[in-house]
Amino acid sequence: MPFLSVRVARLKTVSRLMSLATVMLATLAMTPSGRAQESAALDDLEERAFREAAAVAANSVVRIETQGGLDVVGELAAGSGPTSGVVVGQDGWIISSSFNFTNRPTSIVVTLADGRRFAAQRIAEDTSRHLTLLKIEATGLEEPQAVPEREIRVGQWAIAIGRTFDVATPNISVGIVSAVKRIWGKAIQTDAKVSPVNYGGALVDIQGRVLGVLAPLSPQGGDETAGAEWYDSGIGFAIPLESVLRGLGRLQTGTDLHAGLMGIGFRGEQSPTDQLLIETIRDRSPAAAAEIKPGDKVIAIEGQSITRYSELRQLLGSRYAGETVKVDVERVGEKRQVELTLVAELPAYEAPSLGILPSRTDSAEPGVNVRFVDSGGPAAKAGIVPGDRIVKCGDTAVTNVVELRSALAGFTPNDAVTLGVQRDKETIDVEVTLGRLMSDVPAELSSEAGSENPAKAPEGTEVGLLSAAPPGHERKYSAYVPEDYSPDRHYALVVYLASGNDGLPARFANAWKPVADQRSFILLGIPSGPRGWQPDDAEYVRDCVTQMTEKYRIDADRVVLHVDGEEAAPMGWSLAFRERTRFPGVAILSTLIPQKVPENLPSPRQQFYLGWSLDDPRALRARDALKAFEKARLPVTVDERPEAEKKGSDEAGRDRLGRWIDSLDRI
Amino acid sequence: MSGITDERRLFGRLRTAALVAVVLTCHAPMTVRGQDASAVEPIRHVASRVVKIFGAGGLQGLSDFGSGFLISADGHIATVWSHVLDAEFVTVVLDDGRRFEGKLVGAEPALDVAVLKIDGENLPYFELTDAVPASLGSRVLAFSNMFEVANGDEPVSVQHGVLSARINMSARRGAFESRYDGPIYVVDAITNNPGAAGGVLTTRDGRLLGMLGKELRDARTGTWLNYALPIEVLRTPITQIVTGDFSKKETDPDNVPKRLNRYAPRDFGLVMIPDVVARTPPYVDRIPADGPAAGKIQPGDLIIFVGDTLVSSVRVLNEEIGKLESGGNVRLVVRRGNELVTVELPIPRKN
Repeated sequence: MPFLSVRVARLKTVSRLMSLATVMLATLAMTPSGRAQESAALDDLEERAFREAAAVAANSVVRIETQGGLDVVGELAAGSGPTSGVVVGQDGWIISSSFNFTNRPTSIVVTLADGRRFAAQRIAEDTSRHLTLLKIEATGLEEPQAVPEREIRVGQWAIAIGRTFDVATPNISVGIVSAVKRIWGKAIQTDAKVSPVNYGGALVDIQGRVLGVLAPLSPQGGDETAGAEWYDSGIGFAIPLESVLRGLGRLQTGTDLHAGLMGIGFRGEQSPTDQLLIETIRDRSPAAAAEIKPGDKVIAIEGQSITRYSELRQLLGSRYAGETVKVDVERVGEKRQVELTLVAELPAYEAPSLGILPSRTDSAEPGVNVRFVDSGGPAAKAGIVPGDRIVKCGDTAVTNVVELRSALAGFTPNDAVTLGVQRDKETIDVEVTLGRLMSDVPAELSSEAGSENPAKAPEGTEVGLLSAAPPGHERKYSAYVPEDYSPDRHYALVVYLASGNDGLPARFANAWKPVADQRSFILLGIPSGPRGWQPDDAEYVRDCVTQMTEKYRIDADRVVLHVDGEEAAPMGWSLAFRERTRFPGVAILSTLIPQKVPENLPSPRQQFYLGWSLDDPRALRARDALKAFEKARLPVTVDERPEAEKKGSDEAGRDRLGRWIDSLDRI
Repeated sequence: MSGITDERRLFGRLRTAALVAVVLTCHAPMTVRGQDASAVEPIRHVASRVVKIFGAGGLQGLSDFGSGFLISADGHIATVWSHVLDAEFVTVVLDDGRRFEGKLVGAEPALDVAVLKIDGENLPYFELTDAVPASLGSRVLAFSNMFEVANGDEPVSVQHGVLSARINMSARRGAFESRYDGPIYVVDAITNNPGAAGGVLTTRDGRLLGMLGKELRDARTGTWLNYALPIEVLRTPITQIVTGDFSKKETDPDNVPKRLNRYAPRDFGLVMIPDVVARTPPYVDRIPADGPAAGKIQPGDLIIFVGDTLVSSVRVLNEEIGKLESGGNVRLVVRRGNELVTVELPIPRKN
């Protein structure tokens, strides 16, 4: 009976999806008609099971309605329709998806399955799982039964229940559990249809026990609305009720729950195969407190050995701030275990500052000569003047700029530090209250490039306007080296990303030459390729910069990436954030400013100079984008002026940018 | 589909993927049942009665294809009243590839239903009186020419889902609007696709439940609505159009009910806070001492329900109060602090 065998095979496929069906099939008579009848009976039973499961759980699913609030959230029109919630405590506790409250409503009303209505209060939010806890003044609510997480199996029936369309009857959708421990261990995935119609409602099993609370989520993270674009797609998520109940006690006290952070950064976090070699440790983070250092390797979390970044996220993704985690780290063969208490937010690193510029004149004596003191800055307030020589910072003797910087790195703004200062052959102690890195450009700054009587450049050194291609490339860059170039001097390198095949267009070169001559800058103009700037041009830019830094004496902390205009701005930002060591200075004159910025680091230090015309209709957006820089405490200097002030050639603007570049080595 | 936006295309792709999966897993149990011809092969039974319709459209994201179903042996076809029928020739293609020219017999725009006639005989058809009601959670099948996937002699696509809800329509007006506000079946299969309207929703054993509706968004949640109009709502108008008894009601598209402004909050002694933003919450500003609300409602109360309707803003409150009928009482629910207080106020007589 070939026909029958095909059918049996098909039935088997289906039965794998149906836990209930598996049991029933075992009892089937083996005749075709008997099979057909039993199958139909099975379908009836299944339908009944869906309905009964929904009925069992439905009393714990409530309707939520909101009033007032914002009309638009982000760029989406905020939903105003009713949504759902799940009872998590018989004395009036309701959990729901935070998606339902993104528009910050004025008032929330909960309607129970029996039609009773209550005013609800928001008690707390779980920002890691995007859930919100509500409280109503009611008792005797029906708490659902939670399915233990370890019992949840992929392939089992999952019924999504909301109470959105109708107070009297819930709306349901039937599917299966598609996956468990999704979104870094936080969610169940289902193919039941999940949408604003049931966000906040319950995902229940065939017995009517609650698997989880329906919520929009996205593996890429994001805010409460992330993942909502997947509604009704067959990719839906629910937060396991068991894990909700674990955090419930803290939420009930009004404490918001946040994802727990350690403050460890790994190289190439996107690559799933990468080893767990620590690249960065955030300042004042739990990892820093436990004295974990860059170069250490994470080998286990909670005693469970791990080798990959994705495993680490899977184990830590579900953890809240405030929880402690045992981490095993290895440093050159030596293993140790530390206990970290996770935090909700890592303080952004903010560089401490004295408000001085160090002299670049090479000197035989140890210490740092003060070239310039920012008026009103910390050093000025403490009475430090140009010509002073800093020889000690706290308890550390400093012989050069690098040592002074690293001695200061241990402090934060507002800390007091005692400097040993040599003045008129005497050494005095000066107490300085550290400040933030100045964002103002010195109004006047005489140039200082080093030696008073510089040696001449060796024979054959190219100066003036020149053009060359770095090894392995055919595209030629252009450069301008001041005619009086001397290897005794310190030069800044301005790397200009041109829009076109001429690296240094005459207009740009002529305008910048006087500044370059006055302040000892070398200009490097890099042309874009035939298709404009492309991501793979990064290597070409790198090779151009490398060739210039090998040929000329350029201060590594005064290499500036410069863009003027919209066209090269995306490339500029991409390079600036990917090559943070190469470009300590980034001067981008464009309203295109990224919303997402990297964290501020003590090293490599990066400073930004952003400018746009106030007449540009996008000026407001540009200023708004600055918030991300401020939040990350990245040092930014802004040049925001009406077009009229620039008068075409904008000499004043260039002069100011020149002073900024000349003061990039600020301390 | 040149005019369809990327977003819709994406959804289309997702939906189609889901559809394929569902059809594969659910085909087997559907094809077995009893002795009756209509139940042995419910899918073949239904598919032979669903037709593909091609007509006007093809521009501005409007598809030029649709679905319909046979309701008589001599070729009456029920379908959705839409722009597709607004053509000189409408082509009807049966599941076996036979092509016919369809002529419009009549339409009831208030229900979005129309009847076409093709010249055929002994065609398979649905007996409208056989239609059944279905309960929540029942498995259902949806048959339609969505995305024009079916070619020539191919039967239309079948989707599987359960009945999610039976509610009254509340669809957002937009590119496709609906004046219908009666009962609909909501399903959890994604039936909201170009060309699907006019197809059928059946029980899993192939019994007719309803006609798939147009692409609409739910006014409450802003999400796409997957729904069908129950046959018991359509039966009488369809039968009347077929028999010629249908007295065409006013079909002037401009004849939508006007917004009523019979009453204002002041008629109930309520002075609301000024309506300044898009969703000004309906807070009571003042209660004149001699007004009907004095002693019942207090300044600072937030009005939540007028009757059974949640008033999400001052604007909605004005609309709801405007609609009240003269005489009797109106029940208001207000939020005072953390309490919900129900009050009844008399509706003043007006002519």
